[in-house]
Amino acid sequence: MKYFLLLSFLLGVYCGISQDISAHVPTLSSSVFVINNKSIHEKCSRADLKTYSFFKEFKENSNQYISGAKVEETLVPMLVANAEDFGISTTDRSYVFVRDKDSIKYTAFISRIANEDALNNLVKSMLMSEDEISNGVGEGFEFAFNDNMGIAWNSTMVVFMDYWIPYYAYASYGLESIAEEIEPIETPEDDEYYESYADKLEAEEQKRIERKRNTVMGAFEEIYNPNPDHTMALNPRFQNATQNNSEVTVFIDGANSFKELDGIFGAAEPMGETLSMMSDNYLFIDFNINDKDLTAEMTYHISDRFKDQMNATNKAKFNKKALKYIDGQNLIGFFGFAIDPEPYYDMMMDMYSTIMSSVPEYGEIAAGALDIFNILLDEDEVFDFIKGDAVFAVTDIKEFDVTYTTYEYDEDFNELEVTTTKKEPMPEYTFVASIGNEPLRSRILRMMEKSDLLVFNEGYYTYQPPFSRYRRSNPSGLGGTHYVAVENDVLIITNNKDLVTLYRQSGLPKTNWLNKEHRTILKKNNYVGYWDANRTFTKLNEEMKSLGKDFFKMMEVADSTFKNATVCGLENDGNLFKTTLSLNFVNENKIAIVQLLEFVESIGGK
Amino acid sequence: MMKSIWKNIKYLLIFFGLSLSLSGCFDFVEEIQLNNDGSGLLKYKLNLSKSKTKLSSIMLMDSIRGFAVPDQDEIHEKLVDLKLHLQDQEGLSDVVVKENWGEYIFEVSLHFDNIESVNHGFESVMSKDQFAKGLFFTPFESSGDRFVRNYVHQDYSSIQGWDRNFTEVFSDSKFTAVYKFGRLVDSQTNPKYLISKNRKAVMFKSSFLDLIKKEATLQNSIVLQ
Repeated sequence: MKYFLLLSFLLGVYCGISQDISAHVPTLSSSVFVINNKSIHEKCSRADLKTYSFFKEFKENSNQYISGAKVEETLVPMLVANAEDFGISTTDRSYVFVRDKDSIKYTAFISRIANEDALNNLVKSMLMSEDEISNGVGEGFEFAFNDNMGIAWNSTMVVFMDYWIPYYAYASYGLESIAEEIEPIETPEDDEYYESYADKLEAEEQKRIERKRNTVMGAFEEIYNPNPDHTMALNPRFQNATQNNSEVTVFIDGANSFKELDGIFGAAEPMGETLSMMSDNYLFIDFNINDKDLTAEMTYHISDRFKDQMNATNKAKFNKKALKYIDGQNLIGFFGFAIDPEPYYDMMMDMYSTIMSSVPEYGEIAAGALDIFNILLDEDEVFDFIKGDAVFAVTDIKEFDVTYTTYEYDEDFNELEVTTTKKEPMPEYTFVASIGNEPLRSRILRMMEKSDLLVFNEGYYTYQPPFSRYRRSNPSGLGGTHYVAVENDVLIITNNKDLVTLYRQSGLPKTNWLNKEHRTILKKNNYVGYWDANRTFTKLNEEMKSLGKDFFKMMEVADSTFKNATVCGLENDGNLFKTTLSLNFVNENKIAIVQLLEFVESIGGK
Repeated sequence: MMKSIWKNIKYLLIFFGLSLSLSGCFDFVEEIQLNNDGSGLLKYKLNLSKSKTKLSSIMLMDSIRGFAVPDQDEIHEKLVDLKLHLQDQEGLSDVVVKENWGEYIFEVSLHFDNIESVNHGFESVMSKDQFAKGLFFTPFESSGDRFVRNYVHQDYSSIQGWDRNFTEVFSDSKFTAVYKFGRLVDSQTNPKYLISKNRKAVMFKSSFLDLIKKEATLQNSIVLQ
């Protein structure tokens, strides 16, 4: 019985693998987009995508869009959105992946076929719209290609591919002479006799096409008839990354991405150490259209080599004293981070010195210079000065005094330069960062004062931009006046004068602080971002809208659609570090996808 | 060479026009100091200071309304090309281009041997482009005791989107012309020009919109004593 169960389990695993076409994605792909056709199709059906005019227009003119469409830019969204009509499966996952082989570099979209006739029509219409198409037959598939793209198909799976053959692969049109300079190719065919020069050219052209055909076919072979051990289906990192079954998942393999450098520097160079360093580092991003929001979860898998340093880096917290200087009453948005700079610095130095050492010729010198820099750097002094937490916030959009120059004329019409002031709506911002080491920061401030970048006032400084340094009458320069202050071990840079005059010593009154929700985000995370879309556009007055009517029309529609956006991170689970971006919508009674489609419809109709 | 100069000017015009279309606020000054021997100093000044905040935002963008936004270096390069071209023209010398990127004020000044050199300079710049060539007229005349500022109302309707945009572009923009002489002004034909207290200069001020809509004209004939 237990053998039967084991057999059933193995069969189940086998069937699972064989049904999913990740078994056709080479494991050495540097990045892979996993598209959950079923989920996307369901969401689109639920939102009644077909009733929107932009979609109807797109369907009516699909032939025109298909012509010359790039796989990663246009073709994939088109095929996925209109999968039924094009014969693409709406129940399986599709994949887009980037593959950098020595002989060919390509981006491919692969998908199961649900309706062979519909797919054949699509392929026909694509081929008819392209010039200089060549055909071929591989093992279990047919294919067609031109200079830039290729399509391959059989009864179950279709592949669309943009490709580029590097010159060193000796097959690129127009670069043949370069290739021959590197390594002259002498084949018996070169001695063949031709009736005329035109015949010879034609024969060479045929050979080039043949070589290209073989290279392109090689790429398709790798997809249709892969070595089962070398596909993403058996790549544990990839399987781990895609287990959430999100609408779209992007998987980026650290080591495979770094392999690109191998190609640039040459295989003989000591890239091994760098590749080994990156071997267990990968990133995946899950995009989901939920009922109430759109989310993008970025998860980094950090190798054991850096895990402890990464954990130590992220143990830092935001300084509560610094947050007292951020006015939350009319908050437009903020972003900030809190890291422990010391382990972060150690981690970065470890990475850079490994990568530098791998660079040919000057790598060792650069790594040596880095070591000397490390020795000379007084780490205690620096890390006592930089505490590692900082927040930049746009706290309002309001009118500021801005100076400008005009010319007037005296009674004999001699020109007189006049500086005038006017009110102009601008963002009010505040940047706060924790700093220590009073002697060092005083030295830096004195230095900036001496160089006229800062002008000392009572307890705070006014920033003087270099171009207006010699114009004492106008210290404000471009975009109003900017103030710098250091109080309670917090560096404050702002254009809100009240903050450095009235509230510098004790911070803003409690009623002006960030609200509880924002304080909680800052308390629980060390990478944060928040944007209040709604308030942003309410605050923009008519004058700012003149920055381009079309742009702001679109933004007005966005205002009535998007409520706010937040970024929170890093959440840690073992080697995984996660950051989440969520985009929230205004209307809580409508599902997110409907609001998104209505937004596209509105801006498309303008 | 000529073609590239005109291309440069068009490029600058497109950029500034585009920038201004988003702000609708600039001053343009034409100033001539005419000596008794017919030589003199010509100065053009474009003052965008009132729109500097918006311009600095635009300069951060790659493109706006489908037009590429040039960076500071590119604009500087074009102005240098213009300077070199004017410097090459017979009768024109001491060409100086001033760029104030803090206030967005740009100035071109040059010395001329006689007013015809200025006219030829303009013509040479505009003659290589078919559209600009059609707009050219002789702007200045000077003979003995008479100085004439000519002005021909132009038809810009062939410029794409002109009707839609020009009110917006020039809504709050001013044109100032100042002509100074070594002798006293005796009389003039255009009452819109003011005569200075020392009677050695005249000044014309108008909105660009009035000039475009033909509600004002620069045309004037000044008789000197």
